[in-house]
Amino acid sequence: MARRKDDVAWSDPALLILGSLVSGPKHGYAIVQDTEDAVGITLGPGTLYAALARLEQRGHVRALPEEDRRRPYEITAAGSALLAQRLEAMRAFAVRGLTQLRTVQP
Amino acid sequence: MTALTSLALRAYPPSFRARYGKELSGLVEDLPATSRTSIDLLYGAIRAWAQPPCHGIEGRLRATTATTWVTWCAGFLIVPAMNRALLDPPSAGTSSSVRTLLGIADVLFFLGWALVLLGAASVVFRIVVPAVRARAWTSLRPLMPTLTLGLIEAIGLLWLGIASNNRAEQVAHPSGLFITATVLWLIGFAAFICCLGIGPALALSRLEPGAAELRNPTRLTAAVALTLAALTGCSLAAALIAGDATLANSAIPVAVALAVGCLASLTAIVSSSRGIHALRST
Repeated sequence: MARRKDDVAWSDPALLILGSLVSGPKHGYAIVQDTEDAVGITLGPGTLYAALARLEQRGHVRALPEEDRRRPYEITAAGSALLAQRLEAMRAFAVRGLTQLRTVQP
Repeated sequence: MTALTSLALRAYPPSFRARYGKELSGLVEDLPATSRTSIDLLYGAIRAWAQPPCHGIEGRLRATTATTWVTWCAGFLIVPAMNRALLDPPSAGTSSSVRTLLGIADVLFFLGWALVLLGAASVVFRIVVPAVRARAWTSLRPLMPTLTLGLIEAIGLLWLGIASNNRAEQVAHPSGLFITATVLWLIGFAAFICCLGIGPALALSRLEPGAAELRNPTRLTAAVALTLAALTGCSLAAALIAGDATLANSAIPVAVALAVGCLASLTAIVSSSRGIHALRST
């Protein structure tokens, strides 16, 4: 389970992992650190690897050669396309929500 | 790493540990050892068992074959358990419907074993024998406890049979040695069933056979899963018809056997349908 500091959750582990890997290949610990720094969400190791396994199975991430018990993962073209699709949907949701908030709270 | 964390890491399915185990334990060592980490790992292990990640068609077929084998080993004992509870000896109120249902369950039991052994023969000839010729002992090692315990149990059963035949009073008034030997044999039998379920599944995962070798065993998994579901259904119906009075002395063991049977049937059906779906996509 992802440990969230906010009361309202807005993303799932798979999306956070893809978002982290878009800046370059990372191993598990680096993904946890990056996600914590970027969005304040700490991914547990079980949650991280459950999501990583699914992403790898569906071809959204690719495992690179292991380096001292750490295996980096990189995002694939299919993973980038999926991330872009989700972020576009989130942007549309955010723009609509912010516009409505501005009209309700002048 | 705490004991709970270590236990949680070992709770993952063998296929998951083979693929991600080393890097996952490396990550756990880098993170602070907290109870939340252990709980998160346990939750991850449960999810990995419920929905094991399969890499490619081969992975799916391996998972289906192994899961169906494990569920059959867990579920087939429901038939002797129900026969023992309801018909050994039958109580005065045992209806003919109960006898008929358990008779059907007996037939399904032998049919299921025939299907399982047919699939196992295919696995032995196409996967295990080539592995023996290639001296892949590390991959075959999980079979050793099953073979060893099977041999010990067979010798034990033979000894118990000879001991009870030679002295008829042994059955009527068993000696302390005879009772001890019987209890030890039963404990060994329980361990043998566990090894029989887990050992071959683990060996199959380690041998990493291709889709061609697993095609026939995967086709048989659907028949095995349906047979298991049918014999569980017959046993459940027999228990419901028999009612509380007949099951008075064995209600808890019967309830446990039925629960295991239902869970095993459901798991086998889900896993075999996934395997058949993967076969069709090849």
